[in-house]
Amino acid sequence: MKRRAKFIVGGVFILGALGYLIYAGVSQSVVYFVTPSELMAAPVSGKTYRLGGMVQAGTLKWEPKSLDLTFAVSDGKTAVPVRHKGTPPDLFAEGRGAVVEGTWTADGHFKAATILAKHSEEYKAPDDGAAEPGYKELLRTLQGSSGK
Amino acid sequence: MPDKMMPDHWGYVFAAYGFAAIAFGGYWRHLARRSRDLLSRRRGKEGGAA
Amino acid sequence: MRTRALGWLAGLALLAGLAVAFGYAPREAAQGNVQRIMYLHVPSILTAYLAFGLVLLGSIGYLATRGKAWDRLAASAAELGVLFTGVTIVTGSIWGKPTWGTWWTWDARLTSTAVLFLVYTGYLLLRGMVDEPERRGRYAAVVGIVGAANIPIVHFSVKWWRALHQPSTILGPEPSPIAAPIATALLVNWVAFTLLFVYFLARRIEIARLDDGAVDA
Repeated sequence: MKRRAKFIVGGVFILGALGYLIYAGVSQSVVYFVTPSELMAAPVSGKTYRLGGMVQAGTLKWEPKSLDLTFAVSDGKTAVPVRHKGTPPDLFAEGRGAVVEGTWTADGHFKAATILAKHSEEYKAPDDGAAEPGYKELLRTLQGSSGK
Repeated sequence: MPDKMMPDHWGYVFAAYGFAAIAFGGYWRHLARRSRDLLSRRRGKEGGAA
Repeated sequence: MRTRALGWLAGLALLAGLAVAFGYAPREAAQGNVQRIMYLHVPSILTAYLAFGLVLLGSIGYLATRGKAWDRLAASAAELGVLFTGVTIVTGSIWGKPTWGTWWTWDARLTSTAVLFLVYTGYLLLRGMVDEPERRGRYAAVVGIVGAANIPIVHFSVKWWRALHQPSTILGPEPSPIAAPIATALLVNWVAFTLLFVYFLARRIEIARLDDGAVDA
């Protein structure tokens, strides 16, 4: 009985310690990104940030030749101008979420080295009448005659 | 704004399904082999004892 | 033999899952065809949750009764949980590259899932290191119970913390914003994965019994 009690106390202790370790480890990635408001509250030029928000509608400009990409990331209150050189992920678009990694520059824009597209937990069928069953789409796209 | 749909990425889709097939198929074969080995060993032991 | 029938059932269900994932579910409005990876990714992690839940159950049962059957349940379920978590991570990574633009990132969901995988891999390694069955079962049971704390952390990480990963669609707090045919396809695949898991578990436990030399148990 005494051994069992010792065992339970030890188990609870280990459990607590391990739980804390896991929690602390995950917490490191808790502030995965800062919001535009948080960044603009105290921007430090030259510092590396991960900035997350919505790609503001009407701000996205893309030059396929020079690969210059500019847009604004917004949280509804504050918008941060972002510049990037490169091709964004396919999911990246205005009105969708994005996380950009890069630095805040002295001349007042965010220089993004990496662009990640965020997607919502919504899963919709295409609402333009193209919501045909999967096998038809599959055949069509495999034949390479992707309609519309 | 209307949703812009991503282009197809069948390579990724088939890679994911292919990986899952290999992982589950491989595990299934691993289980089959182990139980065959264990059963034949047991049978061998029983045969030796009898 | 009942296990064999279960195997056939799981195989048929997986075929049905494939048919529904590719033949019935439409493309997703934003992601197009690549979203079909979801029909592997989400059922895998839900099955892994089930597996680790059974590890918890078996571990508690073993500590309470010292019945070897509990230990075999926990050990078998842990192996399967690692398998299904591995499939979750790899399919998620393959899904992330074309959509997010990266194979991997250290956000709360991905990090906690990696921790989940490592904790139960550690569980299996620990079992391999201790030879004496009683001690092996006891040590493993402690890890099996402690490790279960990870399951809610993984699941709620996207709700508690900012992440790249989107919030839960299935088992989320609110009704899921998901089109009916996509939800149906997910459900069919979830059932199929659960059947596959039960089949694997039955066979794995049988192997553990033979290993233990238990003719009676």
